[in-house]
Amino acid sequence: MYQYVLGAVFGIFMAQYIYQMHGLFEMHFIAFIGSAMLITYQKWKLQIPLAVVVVLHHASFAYMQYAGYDKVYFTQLDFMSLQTFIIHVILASLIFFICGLWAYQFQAYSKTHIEQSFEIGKLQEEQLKKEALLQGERQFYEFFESAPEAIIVQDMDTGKLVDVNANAVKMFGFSKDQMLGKALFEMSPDKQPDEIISEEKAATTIAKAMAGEKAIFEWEYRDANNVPLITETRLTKLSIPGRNLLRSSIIDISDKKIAEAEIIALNESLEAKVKDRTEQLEVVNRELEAFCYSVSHDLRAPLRIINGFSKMIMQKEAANMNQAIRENMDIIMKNATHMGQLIDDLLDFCRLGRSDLTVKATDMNDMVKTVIDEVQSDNQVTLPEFQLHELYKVKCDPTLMKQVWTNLISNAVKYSRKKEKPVIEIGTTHCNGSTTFFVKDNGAGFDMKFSDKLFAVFQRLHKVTEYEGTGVGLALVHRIIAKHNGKIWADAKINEGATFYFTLPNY
Amino acid sequence: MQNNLNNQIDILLVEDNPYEARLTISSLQDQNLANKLFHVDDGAEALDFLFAKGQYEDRENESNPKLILLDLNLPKIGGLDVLREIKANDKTKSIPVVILSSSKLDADVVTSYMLGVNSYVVKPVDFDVFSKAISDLGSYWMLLNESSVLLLLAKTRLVA
Repeated sequence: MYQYVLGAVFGIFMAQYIYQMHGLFEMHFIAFIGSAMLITYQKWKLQIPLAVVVVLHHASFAYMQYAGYDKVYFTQLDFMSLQTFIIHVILASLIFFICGLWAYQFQAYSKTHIEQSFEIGKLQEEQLKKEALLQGERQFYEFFESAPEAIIVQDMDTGKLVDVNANAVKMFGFSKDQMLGKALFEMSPDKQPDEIISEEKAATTIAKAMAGEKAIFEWEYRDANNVPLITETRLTKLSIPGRNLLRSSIIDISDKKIAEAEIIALNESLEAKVKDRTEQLEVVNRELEAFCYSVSHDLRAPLRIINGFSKMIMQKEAANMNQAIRENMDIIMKNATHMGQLIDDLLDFCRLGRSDLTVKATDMNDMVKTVIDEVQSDNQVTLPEFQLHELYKVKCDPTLMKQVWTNLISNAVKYSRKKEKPVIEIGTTHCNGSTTFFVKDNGAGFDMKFSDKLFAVFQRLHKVTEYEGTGVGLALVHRIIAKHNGKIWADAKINEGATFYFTLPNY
Repeated sequence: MQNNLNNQIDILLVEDNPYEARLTISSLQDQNLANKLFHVDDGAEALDFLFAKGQYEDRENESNPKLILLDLNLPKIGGLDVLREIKANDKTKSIPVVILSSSKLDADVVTSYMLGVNSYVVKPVDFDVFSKAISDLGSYWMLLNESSVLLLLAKTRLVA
């Protein structure tokens, strides 16, 4: 609105100015400065208020002159005729028209200009979008081409390959053109390693993949040179509308397979080696068994003969022999018997090496009582006093464990029988996940200096004349405890007694 | 001690060690059981004797011994194989067989009983114990035990 007011103000100002200049002709041109200035607003309508002022001004002056009002004057003209008025108005209107047209054109141009700029902006934007799209496509293609696995796209409607990546070309050794147009199973052997016909197996896995299920499987292909290609293939249905595409991602696992086969072969050879060694061990065991057998049979027979013939002589010829000969014969027989005992003990010791443990929960209390009864009935000497503590139940081989108790208890009885009041204490303690048993006597004891000989075969710490024995008993005990993964040790003092400890692991 | 082949043989002793054999025979003599004893040295000979083959072709094998004392460790044919043959043959399987062995091996004992041995005795080293064992054996099998052979004879006589 103020632009229109401004137009009117310009008009009034010019009218006043021209009037003050007494209507000089030249002044009229100056009067159009306002009109020209309004062009900058680019609105042709702004010329209207100017034109109205010019028309009203001239008309009112002409009228006043005509009416005889004498204060109105014009320098050049005495009187404004109608003709002059019309010429004035037409000239002024022409100028206003030109200025209005100019303003109009101005506006029109600038509008076009804006529109064009806008248009260009839009075009540029589109261009950018297009480029971004192309870039994305290129990236995806790059992914596809440079994927570490071979990728093959198959059109399920035609069954033919429609795209393969660089690795596929490399893996299969065909050119890209050769591959396109082939079907996937044309590059596979007739049968897979699991003897299933390739075409049938492919059909089931493809069906699975097309149903959107996970389909990863091992597949053997044949490359361009008909060399087997063992792969892990993953099938994925591609979700491109209107097309039935299946993507196969193929990883060559031939090397892995070879490594696997090597590992299997290695394991087999290892197993074979173990079997070999086991067989060797078994052979050694059998030899040992044969050895024991011959010891048992061949060594005992001569002893029996020595013993038997000595006895026969003693029975039939006793009357013809003097005391010394009879004593010597006695020594022969005693020693033959002793050697028989040695052989028997040694055999027991050998046999133990071959037998397996039959472990079961065992009540040591019952076992120890039975053993004490048996030991006592075998020894007609002074019976020792037994102090029995409650024994823990353990898991062990009862037959072998009874042998342990028998040997330890009969030892205790044997070595304490020369005491006035022999006392044997049997008990148990628990510590560190194992159970420790002990057999304590107050007998002859031994020097701890020689304790390392205690558990060795045929090693004895006492003279046979003092205490009979073969030196196998404790070795046997030691072997049985070791077989149970236990430990055995002893503590003793000469003439004050000995304590034998052994532990058994808690199974 | 060799008996006349055609006399009735009560005990067949199969033992390769002559001294062992002598000890055994000596123990049986005390019980008067050694008179009708026949001693062979090896397994092959034992089978020849029982089935009247080879050097014993001429033996009238009408009657079997009443007891066989068999050692295990024998030359040519082992004791266990002899036992197998005896127990596999209808003619001889009813003869009581006692194994006299030095071997205490579990496997031997089990196999012997599986093959149908009537008794398994481990020969003790001590002569007194040995002697007693042998004479006990003799008197048990020869005197106490009812022999199937005798029963069989009695039966055939009844039928006749």
